[in-house]
Amino acid sequence: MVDDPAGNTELDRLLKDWCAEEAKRPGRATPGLLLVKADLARADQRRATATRVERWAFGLAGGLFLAAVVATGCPSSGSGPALVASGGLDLIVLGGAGWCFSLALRV
Amino acid sequence: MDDQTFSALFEGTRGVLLAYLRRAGGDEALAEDLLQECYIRLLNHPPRILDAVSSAGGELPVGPVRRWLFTTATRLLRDHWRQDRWRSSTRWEHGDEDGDAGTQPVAATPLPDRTLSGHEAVTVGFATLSPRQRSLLWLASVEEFDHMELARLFHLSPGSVRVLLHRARTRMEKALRALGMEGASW
Repeated sequence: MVDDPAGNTELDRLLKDWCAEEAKRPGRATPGLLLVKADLARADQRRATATRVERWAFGLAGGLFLAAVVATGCPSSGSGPALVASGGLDLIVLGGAGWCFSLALRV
Repeated sequence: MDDQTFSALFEGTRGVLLAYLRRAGGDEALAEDLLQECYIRLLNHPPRILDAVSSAGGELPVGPVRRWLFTTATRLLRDHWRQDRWRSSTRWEHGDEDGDAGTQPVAATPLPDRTLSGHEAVTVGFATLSPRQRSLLWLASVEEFDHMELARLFHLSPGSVRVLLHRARTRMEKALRALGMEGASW
């Protein structure tokens, strides 16, 4: 027993012998099975990451698109035509394209 | 890590790790599940000590990997007990494990009538401890983790580890005596 002056060496020895006996009992897992399961876990992880990225892209593109539509649809405030003139149309096209791309990814 | 390295590490550590999970967790199916989870983590998130093996083809660091596996297994066990606390009547830490072991009943588990072999007696005695005490005692006595390592792993102070270990040992010795085993130093 390391760093334990009060440690009971006889009990430790008894436990070590007991553990050595216990360690001889067989189990179900094999290296082959674990390698396959690890591959599957990695694939699940990749899929989960892709889904997260895809959700962010979908949300961002959708938000951009809606913001641009709302902004250009307010001619009474005078900001709509100004936005269109200053590249707001580009925003709509970009946002719409992003949204379509995100939808395509989800299929 | 290539398949050959993994197989060698698996063969060198599987027996002891499974024995630990079986006896500390007290559940055969849980032990098998957690064992698989430990090795899947080893494959997918290998510790840095294995970098040297893959890059320089050095000797297999079975000892450090064994330590890493026991640390991972203990964290998985603790998480399991904490998640399962509402469904299970057993707790990661028993209510009485912090009390005075000298005044506590030896075991809630009924002791068998017949005479037990030494191996059986240790098995029964070990089962009388709380899951946390079982983990602590195994890691300290068999795997030779020091108090600082145990304190970090169990989120306790080194002083608390010392006290908990002392109580676990006292309880274990009392159980062994009740089962008819006599040792020179207890």
